[in-house]
Amino acid sequence: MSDWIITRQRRRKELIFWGISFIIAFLMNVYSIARFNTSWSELYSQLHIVLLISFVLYALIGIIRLIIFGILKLIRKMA
Amino acid sequence: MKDERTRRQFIRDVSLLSSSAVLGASMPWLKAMAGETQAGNGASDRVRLGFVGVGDRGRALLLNCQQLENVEIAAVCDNYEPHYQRAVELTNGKAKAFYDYRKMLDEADKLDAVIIATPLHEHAHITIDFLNSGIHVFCEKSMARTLEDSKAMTLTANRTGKILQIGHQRMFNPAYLKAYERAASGEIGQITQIRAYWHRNNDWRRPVPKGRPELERKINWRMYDEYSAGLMTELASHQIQVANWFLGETPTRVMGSGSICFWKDGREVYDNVACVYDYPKGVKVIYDSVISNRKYGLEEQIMGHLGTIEPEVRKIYSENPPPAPGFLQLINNLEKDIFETIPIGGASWVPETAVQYKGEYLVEDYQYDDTLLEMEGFVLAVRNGRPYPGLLREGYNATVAVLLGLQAMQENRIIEWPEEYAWKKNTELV
Repeated sequence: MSDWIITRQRRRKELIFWGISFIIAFLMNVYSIARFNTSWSELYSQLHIVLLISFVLYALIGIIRLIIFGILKLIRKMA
Repeated sequence: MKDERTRRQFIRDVSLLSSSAVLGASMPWLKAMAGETQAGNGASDRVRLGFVGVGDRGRALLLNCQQLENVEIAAVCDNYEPHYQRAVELTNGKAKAFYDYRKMLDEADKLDAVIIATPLHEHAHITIDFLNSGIHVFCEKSMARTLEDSKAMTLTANRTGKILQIGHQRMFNPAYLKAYERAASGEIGQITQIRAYWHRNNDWRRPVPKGRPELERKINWRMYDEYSAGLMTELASHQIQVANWFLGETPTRVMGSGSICFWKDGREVYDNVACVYDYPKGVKVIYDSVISNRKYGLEEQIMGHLGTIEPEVRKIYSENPPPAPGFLQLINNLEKDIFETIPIGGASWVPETAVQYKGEYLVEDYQYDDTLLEMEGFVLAVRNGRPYPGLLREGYNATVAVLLGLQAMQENRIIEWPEEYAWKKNTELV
Protein backbone atom coordinates (compact mmCIF):
# COMPACT_ATOMS: atom_id res chain seq x y z
CA MET A 1 0.00 0.00 0.00
CA SER A 2 1.42 3.32 -0.99
CA ASP A 3 1.77 6.18 1.51
CA TRP A 4 -0.73 9.01 1.37
CA ILE A 5 1.07 12.31 1.36
CA ILE A 6 -0.66 15.64 1.80
CA THR A 7 1.76 18.15 0.41
CA ARG A 8 2.31 21.64 1.75
CA GLN A 9 0.78 23.12 -1.42
CA ARG A 10 -2.28 20.91 -1.02
CA ARG A 11 -2.77 22.03 2.59
CA ARG A 12 -2.41 25.66 1.54
CA LYS A 13 -4.91 25.16 -1.26
CA GLU A 14 -7.45 23.51 1.03
CA LEU A 15 -7.05 26.28 3.59
CA ILE A 16 -7.70 28.86 0.88
CA PHE A 17 -10.86 26.99 -0.17
CA TRP A 18 -12.07 26.86 3.41
CA GLY A 19 -11.16 30.55 3.88
CA ILE A 20 -13.25 31.41 0.83
CA SER A 21 -16.10 29.36 2.30
CA PHE A 22 -15.80 31.21 5.61
CA ILE A 23 -15.82 34.61 3.88
CA ILE A 24 -18.93 33.61 1.88
CA ALA A 25 -20.66 32.44 5.09
CA PHE A 26 -19.66 35.62 6.88
CA LEU A 27 -21.02 37.75 4.04
CA MET A 28 -24.23 35.72 4.13
CA ASN A 29 -24.55 36.64 7.81
CA VAL A 30 -23.99 40.34 6.97
CA TYR A 31 -26.66 40.08 4.28
CA SER A 32 -29.08 38.33 6.68
CA ILE A 33 -28.66 41.00 9.34
CA ALA A 34 -29.38 43.73 6.81
CA ARG A 35 -32.18 41.78 5.11
CA PHE A 36 -34.05 40.83 8.32
CA ASN A 37 -33.13 44.00 10.18
CA THR A 38 -31.69 42.20 13.21
CA SER A 39 -28.94 43.29 15.58
CA TRP A 40 -25.39 43.83 14.27
CA SER A 41 -24.15 42.07 17.37
CA GLU A 42 -25.06 38.90 15.49
CA LEU A 43 -21.84 39.43 13.55
CA TYR A 44 -20.05 37.81 16.48
CA SER A 45 -22.90 36.17 18.42
CA GLN A 46 -23.72 33.96 15.42
CA LEU A 47 -20.11 33.09 14.59
CA HIS A 48 -20.72 29.46 15.52
CA ILE A 49 -23.40 29.22 12.82
CA VAL A 50 -21.10 31.02 10.36
CA LEU A 51 -18.37 28.49 11.14
CA LEU A 52 -20.77 25.60 10.67
CA ILE A 53 -22.02 26.95 7.35
CA SER A 54 -18.44 27.54 6.20
CA PHE A 55 -17.75 23.83 6.62
CA VAL A 56 -20.95 22.96 4.77
CA LEU A 57 -19.88 25.26 1.91
CA TYR A 58 -16.37 23.80 1.96
CA ALA A 59 -17.87 20.32 1.65
CA LEU A 60 -20.10 21.46 -1.25
CA ILE A 61 -17.13 23.04 -3.00
CA GLY A 62 -15.23 19.78 -2.41
CA ILE A 63 -17.98 17.79 -4.16
CA ILE A 64 -17.95 20.19 -7.12
CA ARG A 65 -14.14 19.96 -7.30
CA LEU A 66 -14.33 16.17 -7.25
CA ILE A 67 -16.85 16.16 -10.12
CA ILE A 68 -14.68 18.56 -12.17
CA PHE A 69 -11.61 16.46 -11.39
CA GLY A 70 -13.44 13.31 -12.52
CA ILE A 71 -14.65 14.90 -15.78
CA LEU A 72 -11.16 16.24 -16.60
CA LYS A 73 -9.62 12.86 -15.91
CA LEU A 74 -12.18 11.20 -18.19
CA ILE A 75 -11.48 13.70 -20.99
CA ARG A 76 -7.72 13.13 -20.64
CA LYS A 77 -8.22 9.38 -20.81
CA MET A 78 -10.35 9.65 -23.94
CA ALA A 79 -7.92 12.06 -25.65
CA MET B 1 -36.68 21.16 56.88
CA LYS B 2 -33.83 18.92 55.91
CA ASP B 3 -33.03 20.76 52.69
CA GLU B 4 -32.16 24.01 54.38
CA ARG B 5 -30.80 25.54 51.18
CA THR B 6 -34.12 25.01 49.43
CA ARG B 7 -36.11 26.55 52.25
CA ARG B 8 -33.84 29.57 52.59
CA GLN B 9 -33.93 30.12 48.85
CA PHE B 10 -37.72 29.98 48.84
CA ILE B 11 -38.08 32.37 51.78
CA ARG B 12 -35.65 34.74 50.06
CA ASP B 13 -37.68 34.55 46.84
CA VAL B 14 -40.88 35.08 48.81
CA SER B 15 -39.39 38.13 50.51
CA LEU B 16 -38.35 39.59 47.18
CA LEU B 17 -41.75 39.00 45.62
CA SER B 18 -43.74 40.26 48.56
CA SER B 19 -41.71 43.46 48.78
CA SER B 20 -43.54 44.68 45.67
CA ALA B 21 -46.56 46.75 46.74
CA VAL B 22 -48.84 45.25 44.08
CA LEU B 23 -47.86 41.69 44.85
CA GLY B 24 -47.93 42.25 48.58
CA ALA B 25 -51.56 43.32 48.27
CA SER B 26 -52.50 40.50 45.88
CA MET B 27 -50.69 37.80 47.79
CA PRO B 28 -50.93 38.85 51.43
CA TRP B 29 -50.00 35.37 52.60
CA LEU B 30 -46.56 35.83 51.04
CA LYS B 31 -45.98 39.10 52.77
CA ALA B 32 -47.01 37.56 56.05
CA MET B 33 -44.93 34.44 55.51
CA ALA B 34 -41.83 36.45 54.64
CA GLY B 35 -42.16 38.28 57.95
CA GLU B 36 -42.85 35.24 60.13
CA THR B 37 -40.44 34.20 62.83
CA GLN B 38 -38.63 31.02 61.94
CA ALA B 39 -38.48 27.95 64.14
CA GLY B 40 -36.41 28.09 67.25
CA ASN B 41 -35.17 24.96 68.96
CA GLY B 42 -36.94 25.48 72.24
CA ALA B 43 -39.77 23.25 73.39
CA SER B 44 -42.11 26.23 73.22
CA ASP B 45 -41.45 26.45 69.49
CA ARG B 46 -42.47 22.85 68.91
CA VAL B 47 -45.68 22.45 66.95
CA ARG B 48 -47.69 19.34 67.85
CA LEU B 49 -49.65 18.07 64.90
CA GLY B 50 -52.44 15.54 64.61
CA PHE B 51 -53.43 13.83 61.37
CA VAL B 52 -57.00 12.85 60.61
CA GLY B 53 -57.11 10.67 57.52
CA VAL B 54 -53.88 8.99 56.50
CA GLY B 55 -54.79 7.69 53.06
CA ASP B 56 -52.66 8.55 50.03
CA ARG B 57 -52.81 12.31 50.48
CA GLY B 58 -52.67 12.19 54.27
CA ARG B 59 -49.60 10.00 54.08
CA ALA B 60 -47.89 12.44 51.70
CA LEU B 61 -48.66 15.35 54.04
CA LEU B 62 -47.41 13.38 57.03
CA LEU B 63 -44.14 12.55 55.28
CA ASN B 64 -43.73 16.23 54.41
CA CYS B 65 -44.34 17.31 58.00
CA GLN B 66 -41.77 14.81 59.24
CA GLN B 67 -39.19 16.83 57.30
CA LEU B 68 -40.02 20.06 59.11
CA GLU B 69 -37.98 21.40 61.99
CA ASN B 70 -39.35 21.19 65.50
CA VAL B 71 -42.60 19.55 64.49
CA GLU B 72 -43.95 16.64 66.48
CA ILE B 73 -46.48 14.26 64.98
CA ALA B 74 -48.39 13.77 68.21
CA ALA B 75 -51.48 11.92 67.00
CA VAL B 76 -52.81 10.07 63.98
CA CYS B 77 -56.32 8.93 63.21
CA ASP B 78 -57.89 6.78 60.53
CA ASN B 79 -60.92 4.52 60.69
CA TYR B 80 -59.69 2.25 57.89
CA GLU B 81 -57.48 -0.44 59.42
CA PRO B 82 -54.70 -0.58 56.74
CA HIS B 83 -54.32 3.21 56.85
CA TYR B 84 -54.39 3.19 60.64
CA GLN B 85 -51.61 0.61 60.73
CA ARG B 86 -49.62 2.51 58.14
CA ALA B 87 -49.88 5.70 60.17
CA VAL B 88 -48.61 3.86 63.26
CA GLU B 89 -45.68 2.49 61.26
CA LEU B 90 -44.85 5.85 59.70
CA THR B 91 -44.63 7.43 63.13
CA ASN B 92 -42.79 4.43 64.64
CA GLY B 93 -45.56 4.07 67.17
CA LYS B 94 -44.64 7.40 68.77
CA ALA B 95 -47.83 9.18 67.78
CA LYS B 96 -50.97 8.33 69.69
CA ALA B 97 -53.26 6.49 67.28
CA PHE B 98 -57.04 6.74 67.07
CA TYR B 99 -59.78 5.16 65.01
CA ASP B 100 -62.26 7.91 65.84
CA TYR B 101 -61.38 11.59 65.56
CA ARG B 102 -63.76 12.41 68.42
CA LYS B 103 -61.48 10.48 70.77
CA MET B 104 -58.64 12.57 69.44
CA LEU B 105 -60.68 15.67 70.22
CA ASP B 106 -60.83 14.58 73.85
CA GLU B 107 -57.09 15.04 73.98
CA ALA B 108 -57.09 18.29 72.03
CA ASP B 109 -55.03 20.02 74.69
CA LYS B 110 -52.07 17.94 73.54
CA LEU B 111 -52.32 19.31 70.01
CA ASP B 112 -51.65 22.67 68.37
CA ALA B 113 -53.07 21.85 64.97
CA VAL B 114 -54.56 19.06 62.88
CA ILE B 115 -54.16 18.12 59.24
CA ILE B 116 -57.38 16.77 57.77
CA ALA B 117 -57.12 14.58 54.68
CA THR B 118 -60.29 12.54 54.88
CA PRO B 119 -62.86 11.97 52.12
CA LEU B 120 -64.44 15.27 51.09
CA HIS B 121 -67.84 14.84 52.76
CA GLU B 122 -66.14 14.51 56.15
CA HIS B 123 -64.10 17.71 55.96
CA ALA B 124 -66.71 20.06 57.34
CA HIS B 125 -67.81 18.47 60.59
CA ILE B 126 -64.29 17.38 61.56
CA THR B 127 -62.88 20.83 60.80
CA ILE B 128 -65.63 22.59 62.72
CA ASP B 129 -65.21 20.29 65.73
CA PHE B 130 -61.47 20.95 65.91
CA LEU B 131 -61.81 24.70 65.40
CA ASN B 132 -64.39 24.80 68.18
CA SER B 133 -61.91 22.96 70.38
CA GLY B 134 -59.35 25.69 69.82
CA ILE B 135 -57.19 23.71 67.37
CA HIS B 136 -55.81 25.20 64.15
CA VAL B 137 -56.76 23.23 61.04
CA PHE B 138 -55.14 22.50 57.71
CA CYS B 139 -57.81 20.88 55.55
CA GLU B 140 -57.14 19.35 52.18
CA LYS B 141 -58.92 20.79 49.19
CA SER B 142 -61.73 21.05 48.36
CA MET B 143 -63.19 22.58 51.48
CA ALA B 144 -66.42 20.64 51.63
CA ARG B 145 -69.01 18.70 49.65
CA THR B 146 -71.66 21.43 49.92
CA LEU B 147 -71.84 25.21 49.79
CA GLU B 148 -73.46 25.30 53.22
CA ASP B 149 -70.64 23.30 54.77
CA SER B 150 -67.97 25.48 53.12
CA LYS B 151 -69.58 28.59 54.51
CA ALA B 152 -70.02 27.03 57.95
CA MET B 153 -66.32 26.12 58.06
CA THR B 154 -65.33 29.67 57.13
CA LEU B 155 -67.64 31.23 59.68
CA THR B 156 -66.35 28.93 62.41
CA ALA B 157 -62.75 29.84 61.60
CA ASN B 158 -63.60 33.53 61.74
CA ARG B 159 -65.57 33.19 64.97
CA THR B 160 -62.91 31.16 66.77
CA GLY B 161 -59.98 33.14 65.36
CA LYS B 162 -58.20 29.88 64.63
CA ILE B 163 -56.27 29.18 61.45
CA LEU B 164 -58.12 27.32 58.71
CA GLN B 165 -55.90 26.76 55.71
CA ILE B 166 -57.07 24.86 52.64
CA GLY B 167 -54.63 22.74 50.65
CA HIS B 168 -54.01 24.78 47.52
CA GLN B 169 -50.28 24.38 47.20
CA ARG B 170 -49.91 26.32 43.97
CA MET B 171 -49.94 29.52 46.01
CA PHE B 172 -46.59 28.36 47.41
CA ASN B 173 -45.17 27.24 44.09
CA PRO B 174 -42.29 29.45 42.84
CA ALA B 175 -43.32 29.04 39.19
CA TYR B 176 -46.86 30.20 39.95
CA LEU B 177 -45.61 33.06 42.11
CA LYS B 178 -43.31 34.20 39.34
CA ALA B 179 -46.10 33.75 36.79
CA TYR B 180 -48.35 35.92 38.91
CA GLU B 181 -45.66 38.56 39.21
CA ARG B 182 -45.14 38.66 35.43
CA ALA B 183 -48.89 38.79 34.76
CA ALA B 184 -49.38 41.53 37.36
CA SER B 185 -46.60 43.58 35.77
CA GLY B 186 -48.70 43.69 32.59
CA GLU B 187 -46.32 41.59 30.57
CA ILE B 188 -49.08 39.47 29.01
CA GLY B 189 -51.46 42.41 28.78
CA GLN B 190 -55.15 42.17 29.60
CA ILE B 191 -56.10 38.62 30.51
CA THR B 192 -59.24 37.80 28.57
CA GLN B 193 -59.38 34.05 28.82
CA ILE B 194 -57.93 31.23 30.88
CA ARG B 195 -58.17 27.77 29.44
CA ALA B 196 -57.57 25.10 32.04
CA TYR B 197 -57.70 21.34 31.77
CA TRP B 198 -56.70 18.21 33.58
CA HIS B 199 -56.63 15.02 31.55
CA ARG B 200 -55.78 11.56 32.79
CA ASN B 201 -56.26 8.11 31.38
CA ASN B 202 -57.22 5.76 34.16
CA ASP B 203 -60.39 4.64 35.87
CA TRP B 204 -59.54 6.60 39.02
CA ARG B 205 -60.37 3.58 41.15
CA ARG B 206 -58.52 2.15 44.09
CA PRO B 207 -58.50 -1.60 44.65
CA VAL B 208 -61.02 -2.98 47.11
CA PRO B 209 -59.82 -5.99 49.14
CA LYS B 210 -61.17 -9.27 47.82
CA GLY B 211 -64.27 -10.50 49.61
CA ARG B 212 -64.94 -7.03 51.13
CA PRO B 213 -67.43 -5.42 48.70
CA GLU B 214 -68.89 -3.39 51.57
CA LEU B 215 -65.68 -1.31 51.46
CA GLU B 216 -66.27 -0.15 47.88
CA ARG B 217 -67.92 3.14 48.79
CA LYS B 218 -65.46 3.81 51.58
CA ILE B 219 -62.38 3.25 49.43
CA ASN B 220 -63.72 4.65 46.17
CA TRP B 221 -65.57 7.55 47.75
CA ARG B 222 -64.54 9.80 44.83
CA MET B 223 -66.89 7.80 42.59
CA TYR B 224 -70.04 8.62 44.54
CA ASP B 225 -72.03 11.78 44.47
CA GLU B 226 -72.81 11.64 48.18
CA TYR B 227 -69.12 11.93 49.07
CA SER B 228 -67.50 13.83 46.24
CA ALA B 229 -68.15 16.08 43.27
CA GLY B 230 -65.69 13.97 41.27
CA LEU B 231 -63.37 15.74 38.88
CA MET B 232 -64.65 19.15 39.98
CA THR B 233 -63.68 18.93 43.65
CA GLU B 234 -60.71 16.62 43.22
CA LEU B 235 -58.97 18.26 40.25
CA ALA B 236 -60.72 21.40 38.99
CA SER B 237 -60.62 23.17 42.34
CA HIS B 238 -56.84 23.60 42.05
CA GLN B 239 -57.13 25.21 38.64
CA ILE B 240 -60.18 27.34 39.35
CA GLN B 241 -58.32 28.61 42.41
CA VAL B 242 -55.46 29.65 40.10
CA ALA B 243 -57.93 31.37 37.77
CA ASN B 244 -59.59 33.27 40.64
CA TRP B 245 -56.19 34.26 41.98
CA PHE B 246 -54.78 35.51 38.67
CA LEU B 247 -57.97 37.35 37.74
CA GLY B 248 -58.46 38.77 41.23
CA GLU B 249 -62.15 37.96 40.89
CA THR B 250 -64.65 35.19 41.32
CA PRO B 251 -66.99 34.01 38.56
CA THR B 252 -70.34 35.69 38.17
CA ARG B 253 -71.96 32.63 36.63
CA VAL B 254 -71.17 29.20 35.22
CA MET B 255 -72.55 26.91 32.57
CA GLY B 256 -71.46 23.37 31.89
CA SER B 257 -72.03 19.87 30.72
CA GLY B 258 -70.90 16.62 32.24
CA SER B 259 -71.30 12.95 31.45
CA ILE B 260 -70.28 9.46 32.36
CA CYS B 261 -68.87 8.86 28.95
CA PHE B 262 -66.24 6.14 29.15
CA TRP B 263 -65.98 4.52 32.59
CA LYS B 264 -69.47 3.00 32.86
CA ASP B 265 -68.67 0.95 35.92
CA GLY B 266 -71.38 2.02 38.33
CA ARG B 267 -69.80 5.31 39.30
CA GLU B 268 -72.05 8.27 39.96
CA VAL B 269 -69.68 11.13 39.21
CA TYR B 270 -68.86 12.41 35.73
CA ASP B 271 -65.76 11.17 33.94
CA ASN B 272 -66.01 13.96 31.36
CA VAL B 273 -66.72 17.57 32.38
CA ALA B 274 -66.68 20.91 30.60
CA CYS B 275 -67.56 24.25 32.18
CA VAL B 276 -67.46 27.87 31.10
CA TYR B 277 -67.06 30.37 33.91
CA ASP B 278 -68.00 34.00 33.28
CA TYR B 279 -65.98 36.57 35.19
CA PRO B 280 -66.57 40.32 35.41
CA LYS B 281 -65.74 42.40 32.31
CA GLY B 282 -66.44 39.52 29.95
CA VAL B 283 -63.45 37.39 30.94
CA LYS B 284 -63.93 33.64 30.52
CA VAL B 285 -62.42 30.60 32.16
CA ILE B 286 -62.93 27.48 30.10
CA TYR B 287 -62.41 24.28 32.01
CA ASP B 288 -62.49 20.66 31.00
CA SER B 289 -61.38 17.38 32.46
CA VAL B 290 -61.47 13.81 31.18
CA ILE B 291 -60.05 10.55 32.47
CA SER B 292 -59.91 8.68 29.18
CA ASN B 293 -57.04 10.50 27.44
CA ARG B 294 -53.87 11.97 28.91
CA LYS B 295 -52.11 13.46 25.89
CA TYR B 296 -52.52 17.05 27.05
CA GLY B 297 -52.10 16.36 30.78
CA LEU B 298 -52.85 19.42 32.86
CA GLU B 299 -52.29 23.11 32.35
CA GLU B 300 -53.70 26.54 32.91
CA GLN B 301 -53.23 28.64 29.79
CA ILE B 302 -53.47 32.22 30.96
CA MET B 303 -54.03 34.29 27.84
CA GLY B 304 -53.58 38.03 27.56
CA HIS B 305 -53.47 40.23 24.48
CA LEU B 306 -49.66 40.48 24.76
CA GLY B 307 -48.78 36.97 25.80
CA THR B 308 -49.62 33.64 27.39
CA ILE B 309 -48.45 31.95 30.57
CA GLU B 310 -48.45 28.22 31.15
CA PRO B 311 -47.36 27.86 34.77
CA GLU B 312 -47.36 24.06 34.89
CA VAL B 313 -44.55 23.97 32.32
CA ARG B 314 -43.07 27.19 33.84
CA LYS B 315 -43.29 29.10 30.56
CA ILE B 316 -44.27 32.51 29.28
CA TYR B 317 -44.88 33.22 25.59
CA SER B 318 -44.97 36.66 24.04
CA GLU B 319 -47.47 37.36 21.26
CA ASN B 320 -44.55 39.04 19.48
CA PRO B 321 -41.62 36.78 20.16
CA PRO B 322 -38.13 38.15 19.58
CA PRO B 323 -37.01 37.36 16.01
CA ALA B 324 -34.56 34.56 15.38
CA PRO B 325 -31.04 35.68 14.39
CA GLY B 326 -30.98 36.92 10.80
CA PHE B 327 -28.68 34.14 9.63
CA LEU B 328 -31.02 31.45 10.95
CA GLN B 329 -33.96 33.19 9.27
CA LEU B 330 -32.04 33.16 6.00
CA ILE B 331 -31.21 29.46 6.33
CA ASN B 332 -34.82 28.64 7.28
CA ASN B 333 -36.09 30.56 4.27
CA LEU B 334 -33.66 28.76 1.97
CA GLU B 335 -34.68 25.42 3.46
CA LYS B 336 -38.37 26.27 2.98
CA ASP B 337 -37.80 27.39 -0.61
CA ILE B 338 -36.04 24.15 -1.43
CA PHE B 339 -37.99 21.56 0.53
CA GLU B 340 -41.46 22.92 1.25
CA THR B 341 -44.39 21.52 -0.72
CA ILE B 342 -45.55 23.91 -3.44
CA PRO B 343 -49.34 23.87 -3.87
CA ILE B 344 -50.24 23.92 -7.54
CA GLY B 345 -54.01 23.61 -7.11
CA GLY B 346 -56.71 23.27 -4.48
CA ALA B 347 -57.22 25.37 -1.39
CA SER B 348 -55.10 28.48 -1.07
CA TRP B 349 -56.04 28.84 2.61
CA VAL B 350 -53.28 28.18 5.13
CA PRO B 351 -54.58 26.74 8.45
CA GLU B 352 -53.93 28.96 11.48
CA THR B 353 -52.26 26.28 13.56
CA ALA B 354 -50.63 27.01 16.91
CA VAL B 355 -47.68 29.39 17.02
CA GLN B 356 -44.52 27.33 17.29
CA TYR B 357 -42.61 29.77 19.51
CA LYS B 358 -41.16 27.82 22.43
CA GLY B 359 -41.35 30.67 24.93
CA GLU B 360 -39.06 31.37 27.84
CA TYR B 361 -38.88 29.84 31.29
CA LEU B 362 -40.42 31.72 34.20
CA VAL B 363 -38.02 30.15 36.66
CA GLU B 364 -35.15 27.74 36.30
CA ASP B 365 -35.75 24.14 37.20
CA TYR B 366 -36.14 24.00 40.95
CA GLN B 367 -36.14 21.45 43.71
CA TYR B 368 -39.02 22.97 45.65
CA ASP B 369 -41.90 20.73 46.61
CA ASP B 370 -44.82 23.12 46.84
CA THR B 371 -46.72 20.85 49.24
CA LEU B 372 -43.72 20.82 51.56
CA LEU B 373 -43.49 24.61 51.38
CA GLU B 374 -47.21 24.89 51.98
CA MET B 375 -46.93 22.70 55.07
CA GLU B 376 -44.03 24.75 56.33
CA GLY B 377 -46.13 27.86 55.80
CA PHE B 378 -48.94 26.34 57.84
CA VAL B 379 -46.62 25.29 60.65
CA LEU B 380 -45.11 28.79 60.73
CA ALA B 381 -48.58 30.30 60.94
CA VAL B 382 -49.50 27.93 63.79
CA ARG B 383 -46.27 28.74 65.63
CA ASN B 384 -47.09 32.42 65.41
CA GLY B 385 -50.80 31.88 66.06
CA ARG B 386 -52.01 33.97 63.11
CA PRO B 387 -53.70 32.89 59.87
CA TYR B 388 -52.23 34.20 56.63
CA PRO B 389 -54.60 36.72 55.14
CA GLY B 390 -56.12 35.67 51.83
CA LEU B 391 -55.52 31.93 51.98
CA LEU B 392 -58.91 30.96 53.37
CA ARG B 393 -60.63 33.23 50.86
CA GLU B 394 -58.84 31.46 48.00
CA GLY B 395 -59.85 28.04 49.30
CA TYR B 396 -63.43 29.08 49.90
CA ASN B 397 -63.92 30.76 46.53
CA ALA B 398 -62.41 27.82 44.65
CA THR B 399 -64.71 25.37 46.40
CA VAL B 400 -67.82 27.46 45.81
CA ALA B 401 -66.88 27.84 42.14
CA VAL B 402 -66.43 24.12 41.51
CA LEU B 403 -69.59 23.20 43.39
CA LEU B 404 -71.53 25.72 41.30
CA GLY B 405 -69.95 24.20 38.20
CA LEU B 406 -71.22 20.78 39.24
CA GLN B 407 -74.67 22.21 39.92
CA ALA B 408 -74.72 23.79 36.43
CA MET B 409 -73.89 20.43 34.88
CA GLN B 410 -76.34 18.43 36.97
CA GLU B 411 -79.22 20.86 36.51
CA ASN B 412 -78.32 21.68 32.92
CA ARG B 413 -78.69 25.43 33.41
CA ILE B 414 -76.65 28.56 33.94
CA ILE B 415 -75.94 29.12 37.62
CA GLU B 416 -75.31 32.61 38.99
CA TRP B 417 -72.96 32.96 41.96
CA PRO B 418 -75.43 33.24 44.88
CA GLU B 419 -75.21 36.46 46.88
CA GLU B 420 -75.17 34.59 50.17
CA TYR B 421 -71.97 32.83 49.14
CA ALA B 422 -70.18 35.88 47.73
CA TRP B 423 -67.09 36.58 49.79
CA LYS B 424 -67.02 40.29 49.03
CA LYS B 425 -70.65 40.85 49.93
CA ASN B 426 -70.64 38.93 53.19
CA THR B 427 -68.70 40.78 55.84
CA GLU B 428 -69.24 37.81 58.14
CA LEU B 429 -67.11 35.73 55.75
CA VAL B 430 -64.27 38.21 55.34
